[in-house]
Amino acid sequence: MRYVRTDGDAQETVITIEGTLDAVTAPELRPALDAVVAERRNPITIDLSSLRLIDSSGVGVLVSLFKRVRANGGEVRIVGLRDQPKAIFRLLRLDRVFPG
Amino acid sequence: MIRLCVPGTLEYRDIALRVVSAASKLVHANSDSATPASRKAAEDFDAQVVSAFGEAFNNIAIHGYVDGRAGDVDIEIDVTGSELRICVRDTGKSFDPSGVPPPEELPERGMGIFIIRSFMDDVTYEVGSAGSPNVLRIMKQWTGAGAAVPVGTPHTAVPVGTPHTAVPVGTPHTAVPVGTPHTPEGLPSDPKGPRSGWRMKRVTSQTGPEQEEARPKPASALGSTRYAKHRR
Repeated sequence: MRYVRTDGDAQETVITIEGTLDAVTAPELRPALDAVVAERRNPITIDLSSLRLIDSSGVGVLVSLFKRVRANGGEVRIVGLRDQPKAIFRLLRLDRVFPG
Repeated sequence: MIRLCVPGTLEYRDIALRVVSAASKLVHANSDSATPASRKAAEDFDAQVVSAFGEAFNNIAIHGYVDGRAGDVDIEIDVTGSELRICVRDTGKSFDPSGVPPPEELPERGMGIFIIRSFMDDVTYEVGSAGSPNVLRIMKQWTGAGAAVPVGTPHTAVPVGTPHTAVPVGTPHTAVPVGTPHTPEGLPSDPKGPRSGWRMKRVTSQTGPEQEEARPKPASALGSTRYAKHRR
């Protein structure tokens, strides 16, 4: 798993996640997500167009991000879903939760 | 039969996933792959199998081998005709296969069982004891592109509020798990419930629910729990 954080001129942030986001790699991503929450970045866009595989642990860190940002009045968008990650998001109905 | 035994830690998850992924492809290796629909069906099949198995492995590595427990994960994969059967054995802490979160509650944990039961056609789980391992058996049948169920669609197949009364067969969820199975946090619902588009058939072997709840279960009386899908 590899991620890239890109901050815009305003408060917006885009985090692009590549590879596999699972029980092994999700803990590596969590500090980066904690940081954008602490900095109150908004909106936050998660680009998953290069994500190959996600599991429930990976979903968990994104749901955690969503809840915390929403609690601060912010918004998290998920873009680029495809293949297996898209299947997981649809199964868990997260495609209805995260605006694209 | 493909057999693989790896330590029950996350470091070995990828190895196991790769083997399962390769085995999954055998199921539809001889199927027509000329059309986009058939290729998509094959990709969906593999994605669902790998996702379900990955969650099963996670359960063992994260929740099973804890509190000083350590051990292996024994994996048997059997490809017979259009069926892929995977048997996973471990000697860690057992889990409660009925503990499933409703997706509308946005749980951060415990979605693995939901994924397993949603993506596989048949799931059984036998709680182990000192002398026998926990045994998870999952099965998925290749139906080809024509009858394939696209991933993620079960929820929309049945109107919300459809009565659940026709679904359960056998005993209540609470009757089966014995010992000290872990239950993922905040997970009271059933993926084969009203919105799932699938029916859950639960078969409990051995003793009845009242007896099981009333006393500790001896190793000889360990029950198994089955979740079988039936398309409506």
